[in-house]
Amino acid sequence: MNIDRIRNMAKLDVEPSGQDIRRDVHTFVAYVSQRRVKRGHRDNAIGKADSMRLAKLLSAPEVESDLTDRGYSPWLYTIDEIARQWGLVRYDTKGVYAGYTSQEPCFPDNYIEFDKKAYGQLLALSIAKQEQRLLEELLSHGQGSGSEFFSAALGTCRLDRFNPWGSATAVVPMLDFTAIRKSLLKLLANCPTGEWLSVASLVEYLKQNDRYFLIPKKPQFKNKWDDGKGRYTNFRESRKDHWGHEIQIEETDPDAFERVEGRYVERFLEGLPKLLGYVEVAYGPPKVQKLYPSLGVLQAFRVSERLQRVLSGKIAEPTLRVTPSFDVYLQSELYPARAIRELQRICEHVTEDATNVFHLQRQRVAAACADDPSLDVVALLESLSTEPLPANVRRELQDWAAHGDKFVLYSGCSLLETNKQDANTKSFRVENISPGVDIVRSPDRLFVELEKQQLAPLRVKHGEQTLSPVPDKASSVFPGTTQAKKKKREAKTKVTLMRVTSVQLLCPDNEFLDRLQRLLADVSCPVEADRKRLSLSYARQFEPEVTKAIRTLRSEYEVKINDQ
Amino acid sequence: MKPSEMLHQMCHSLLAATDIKELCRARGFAAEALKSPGILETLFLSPQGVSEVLASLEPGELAALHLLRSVDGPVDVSFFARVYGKRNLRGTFSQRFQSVFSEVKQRLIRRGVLLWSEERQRLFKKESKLELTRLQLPVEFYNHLPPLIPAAREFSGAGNWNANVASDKLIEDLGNSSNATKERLVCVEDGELRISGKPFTSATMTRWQQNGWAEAAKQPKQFTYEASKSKQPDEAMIAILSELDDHAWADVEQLAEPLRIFCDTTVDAAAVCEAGWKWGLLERRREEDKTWYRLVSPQDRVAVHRYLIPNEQDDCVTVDLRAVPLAALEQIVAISNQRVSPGGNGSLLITPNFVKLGRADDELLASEPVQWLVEHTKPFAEMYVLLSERRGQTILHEDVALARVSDLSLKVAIEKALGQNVVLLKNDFIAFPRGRWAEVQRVVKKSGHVVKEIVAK
Repeated sequence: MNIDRIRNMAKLDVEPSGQDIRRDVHTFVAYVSQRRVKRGHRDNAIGKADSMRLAKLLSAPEVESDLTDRGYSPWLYTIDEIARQWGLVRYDTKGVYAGYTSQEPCFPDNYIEFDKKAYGQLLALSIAKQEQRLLEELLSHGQGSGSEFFSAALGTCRLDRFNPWGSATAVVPMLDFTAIRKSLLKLLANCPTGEWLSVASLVEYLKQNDRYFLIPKKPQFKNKWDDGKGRYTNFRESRKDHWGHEIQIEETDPDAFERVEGRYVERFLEGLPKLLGYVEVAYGPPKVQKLYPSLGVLQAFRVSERLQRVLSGKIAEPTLRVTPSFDVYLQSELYPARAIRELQRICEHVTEDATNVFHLQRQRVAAACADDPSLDVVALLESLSTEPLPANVRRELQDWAAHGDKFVLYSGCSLLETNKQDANTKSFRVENISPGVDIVRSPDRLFVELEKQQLAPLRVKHGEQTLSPVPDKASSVFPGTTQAKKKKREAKTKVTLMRVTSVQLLCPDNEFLDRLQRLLADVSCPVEADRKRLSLSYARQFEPEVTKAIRTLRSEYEVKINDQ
Repeated sequence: MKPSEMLHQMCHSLLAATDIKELCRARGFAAEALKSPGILETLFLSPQGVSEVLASLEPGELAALHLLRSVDGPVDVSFFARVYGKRNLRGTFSQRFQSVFSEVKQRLIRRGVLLWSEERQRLFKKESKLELTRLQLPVEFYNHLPPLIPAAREFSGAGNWNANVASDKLIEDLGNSSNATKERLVCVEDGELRISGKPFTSATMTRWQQNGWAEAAKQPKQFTYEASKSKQPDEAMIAILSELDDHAWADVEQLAEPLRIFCDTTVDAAAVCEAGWKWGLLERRREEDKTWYRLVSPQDRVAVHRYLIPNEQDDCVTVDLRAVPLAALEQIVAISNQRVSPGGNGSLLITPNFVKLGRADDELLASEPVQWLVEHTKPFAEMYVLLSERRGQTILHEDVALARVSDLSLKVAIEKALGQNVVLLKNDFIAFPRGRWAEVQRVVKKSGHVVKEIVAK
């Protein structure tokens, strides 16, 4: 293939790849599986609280700002849509019309349901097959007016689009965008890798070698009245602004291919291939836009070797290495969802990147073993690892796994004590503690059964915070009524009371009150004045300050204090 | 609003200086109370002067205060319309009850026997100040209220009591097999005596009598304010007569005024009392050309052998429904199976039921009829012995959390955290109250362990 290289990239703006769609789909599914997420009653969108929580978990940094500024995130919508189309989650998308005059459906109590089986089936696939499924899904995503010509459905795209008006008629509806994208991907796979190539050159290549890759030479329109409209009837440019005066692109125009197919190639490159990390793209320097939609803004692209590997199904499975210091290194070209999911149960996820670093934790291993008794941690790590586990790790893991049995709680059970060995309670037994003492299920049914067996059972309902005493005559390991009475009283709650003695001075008039109050304020003595009653109140501890203030006033007044 | 808040508001905001002066004079408070609302607030609930003020009230006012005591909470001013007001249905709330409030203030608030407050205005409902007024009799004054019927008389001996109302109904329903089961109040179903479809209790039987009385004493419907807290004639009569002393009786004339106040309408007291007597809930006697009434007093004990007759041929015991007290019948029914005597002679045949005996508490087992049955009849005695052997041998503990702790240090930590609320069972098992689970979980987590959960299916 003869496509021009770009030597000088200094003036071009290379778009960094900030999003990881593979990781985000799994993060979204994990979030939904752990919470009851309700969709909006009217718009069927994910609620604001859940969206904000998800924004913090997803890889795309713009999700949070989109939600805050626009109340909507295209990236979150894409992830949600892919998870639904894969069948990993389910929810109502049709809705119901609440009344005869309803103009649009509503979605009452529309909760997202996680399909554990479908997710398990996806994880069971190899990395290459998972990638194949994702690729197939994205290749068919967006047809007609949802295609790259008119819509930027996948992630964040810089380039603007054609006006979609009229795109449901004429040539666009008959185009098979899945096949078009596949053919373009194959073409990209044949390009040299690791070098910046010119987009204009690629368009020229297509013009010379495969001019009708997008729109057939003689399209067979479905409707008669479209026959005379030509191949480019759906595509109009504008010189004023996006929605301004429009210029119809004619097939006879010498640069018609560049203006239609060329624009498509630009928009395709910044869509699916960039999103999946198959290509990197670079934009030209910013200019004042005079033509809408823009043309020639995306100027360079660089194909990754990954594309060839994906198309040939040769993506390697993740490799895992465990060090004697209990660190686990997981290396994978694509997001190793299954391995991460397994490892997160037993490890702390330290670093998330092309190489994921984990650290094995005793408590997590024990908890995982407690949750799933069939889990063999050593076997799990060995199945993922390319090298044998270090001896110390193997030994410790076996020890940690046994740690999960140290505390076993029996939920929803009751305790049966009986001296009657002939009591038939086997069908209710969960665990036998000792002869005559059993952990049992279904206490109501068991009680009726014991009554039928004429065992005169006693039912002791224990309190929420304390154990109820059993009757004294009963033979039980639980404390009896007398024993319970003998127990020491609980320690009394300690209370400290603050005693504040306050003194009230009743003044003869407002003037004296003001002067005394001012003097006390000068020495920062807290007093409470009541002008109606001409009184000043203060705590006894401030007696010296008040005496001092009164002594000052004695130079003008003859002060006498009467105690009441 | 709490009474303490009502008192604070009354003393600090609502009472004018004249009101305080009047109040202090009526209750005999010291001069300091006049000067300080705080002192008045402290003194108000003291017993000082309360009895004297209450003794000086009119009978109608006193009856209203007795009714207010039974309400046990604040009421609005329309409550006192029964004492001071004329029935006026026109005009605004303030126009209708302004005069009533003036009287209440003059007669009760200024004399220091009522708490007075104003509720806060609600957000979307504009109400007048009078509508927001609330009045309450303080709990501290309940014991100072003079008797509702001051001239009640004491007579020796019992009165005339229609004792057979309940037993007649029992015999009628159980003896008449032609009636459909649904129409009968009492019936025997699956070996169980039932009243209104539920296991027999004396309280349900008494409620049936009360309903009969209420139906008989029903008054034509009259308008009363929702907030007036008026009672039905039968309820009112029970409330009034329950305040009489043990041997005291009241005649119809004495009952008329309190009954009017309690029902907030004029009621024929004689007819109400007569209906109460007919339904077996009141006793009556004629003395000094007057008819006197009181609530049925606790009856003398009836010897058990007068209503329980052992029937050795059929291994059962006959219960004479004419003689058996309702409370004893409830106790007998609670430990036995019942069936109607084939002769239709108003008696019930009972046999012991071990399941019911097992469910019986110690008090029921120690009751006189049960003990008599155990001592005098073989089937009951045998069952009782069996029960004594087995009782307390099988215990089902509910609402208790159970766990197996195989780490000694963890077990010690849990024991230390829960103190006496943990029971150590054999083979490393422990039991503790369910409500303490969070505490245990904390200890487990702190000690670096995890919880393995086994859920009973």
